[in-house]
Amino acid sequence: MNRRTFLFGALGAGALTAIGAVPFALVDEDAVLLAAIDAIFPPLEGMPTGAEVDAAAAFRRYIANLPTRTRFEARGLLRAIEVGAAATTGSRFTVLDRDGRTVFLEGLLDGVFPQRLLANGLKQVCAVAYWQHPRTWTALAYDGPLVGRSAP
Amino acid sequence: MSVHIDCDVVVVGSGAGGGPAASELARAGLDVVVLEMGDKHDPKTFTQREEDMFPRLFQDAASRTTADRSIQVLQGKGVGGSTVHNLNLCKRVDDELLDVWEREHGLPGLRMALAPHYAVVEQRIEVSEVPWDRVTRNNRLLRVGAEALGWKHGPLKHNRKGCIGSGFCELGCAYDAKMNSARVFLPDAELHGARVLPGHRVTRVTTALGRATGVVGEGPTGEFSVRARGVVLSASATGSSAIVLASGLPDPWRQAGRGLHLHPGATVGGVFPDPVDGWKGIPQSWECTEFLHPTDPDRRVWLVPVFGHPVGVGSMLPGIGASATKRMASFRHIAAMTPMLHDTSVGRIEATRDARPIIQYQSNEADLRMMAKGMMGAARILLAAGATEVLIPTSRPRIITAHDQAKALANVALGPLDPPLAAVHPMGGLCMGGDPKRSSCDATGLYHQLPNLWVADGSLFPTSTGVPPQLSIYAFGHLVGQAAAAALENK
Repeated sequence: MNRRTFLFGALGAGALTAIGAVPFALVDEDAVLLAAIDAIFPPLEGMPTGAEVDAAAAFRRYIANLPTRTRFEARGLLRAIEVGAAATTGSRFTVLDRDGRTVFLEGLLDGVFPQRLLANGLKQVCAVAYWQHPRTWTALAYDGPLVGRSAP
Repeated sequence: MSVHIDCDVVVVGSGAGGGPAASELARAGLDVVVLEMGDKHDPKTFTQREEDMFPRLFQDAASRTTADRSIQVLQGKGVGGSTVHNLNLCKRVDDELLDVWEREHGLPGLRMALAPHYAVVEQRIEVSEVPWDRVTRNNRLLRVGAEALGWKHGPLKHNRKGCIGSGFCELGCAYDAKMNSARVFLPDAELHGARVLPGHRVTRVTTALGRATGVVGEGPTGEFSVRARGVVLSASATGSSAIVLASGLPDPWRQAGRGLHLHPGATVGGVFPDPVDGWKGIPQSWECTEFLHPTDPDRRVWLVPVFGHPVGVGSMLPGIGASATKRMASFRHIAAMTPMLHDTSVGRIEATRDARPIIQYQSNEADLRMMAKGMMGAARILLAAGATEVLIPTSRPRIITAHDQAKALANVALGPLDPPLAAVHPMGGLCMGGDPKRSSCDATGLYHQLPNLWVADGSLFPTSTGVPPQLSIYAFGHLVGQAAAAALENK
């Protein structure tokens, strides 16, 4: 059994464990993504929320370009986070408050390889969905693309 | 609709290997067809936005990883291949390492044979040192830190012409200032009659009576086939192996796909009191080689500045929660470095039935120890350059503020995804060597088991190069192109 097989097994087992509490197929992916962005990159004063930059739409645009299997994994990742939280904390990820979500995700980062894989994958997805939007750049003092402006 | 093409030689892939190979074959008067799976890009359409450019320039929209998902593997697609998005670093493989390749891999005379090809491609892509007045603060900080520590450091050479220093190199140059395969070699090949066909993904090399007869695959309008007297595979160190494996080519000693190296690297950030503006200007113009030697097993890590744009930086900075956002808010004040491994871990390429690569690779213990040493080195340079804190991307982030803390990093036990690693230099898979039982190709790139199939990309390298492979891939593309032309002209 390689690590990939193990990962899929772990995801599947996690889903089955929690299936009674949260049907895997009924997870609201957008809600999980926005809740994850709020926990991973909680906006400082003046910064937009994930919803305000329509991060869910950005996520969908991003995964549309991925190979079928990777797209499936990216969506499965969000679902696994929701049911995984339910299985380990008793509350769905989207129901936990921000501190609860952060603690849950930090636990994954500190965990065994498949758990780290989930947490790191989620962070990548959140970074793509959130930091791509120009409204998030103001707080970074990042001036964005140079095309259309004069050379430095 | 099925399309059929006849030609003398078909080149699969248009990057640093395929470009010069096609150019040399066409200059020899052969009828050349270059097949590229990605699109032909007009640099004027490059938006410098990560969300736009990742899908356009990178395999799998930059989501490609090793099979276990632990290492991100960034590879290009489109006419010009990875030379469209790479950072233009040009460094020859050290002579000491070439001597090892000669001695231990049955490749006598390789160093002398390769030298003129290095010289030609360096001249054609106009390799030159980045002048000091173009070295950015992110890079100058590496020099300051290394100087303070008494460590070896120096400038790097690039292939740029007309560079305005926008700093968006990894998203493609909107100013077409990269002297890359798309700008230099492919136009030259076309000038000499070659046809470059984007949107054509090869799935199989066809054979008959012990010879390659061409390739088949999927094109813009459906299936296509190409019949040719010679086939050159330049589809990258993952793609070429995948095509060989999916084609079921003769491989009695099961060498295809073996010997993969990746040069994995982590990202160590330092926060400075004054703005660094790391995303502006020419990236990676200075290096530290204190811990890098081509053949010393205890010195196998290269330290070089690195930076990105908001999505990339948000992904690579350690940790989550309010502290992560606060670090992002320090964006202008962050300098970053990557310890890149001259890796001894050996992976392999497997293939799906339609020739998509599956990258099997796991870091060995020695490499993980070397990565810890590299993070120590990067942290010490950043501190010596004036960083108030250094961010170590282990699963539980470490914040380093003093040299004794940094020194302790060398003894930290690391593991998969701890820290997350990224790789931009796949090498090996169809390694060259003198013994067909231990290698796939000879020193001219000729596949041991077929008399008219050549490999012209990083697949050939029998070990990690320890330096960015771009220049060596150009040189081998040039060498293999000439060798294939000579063989085919004589038929």
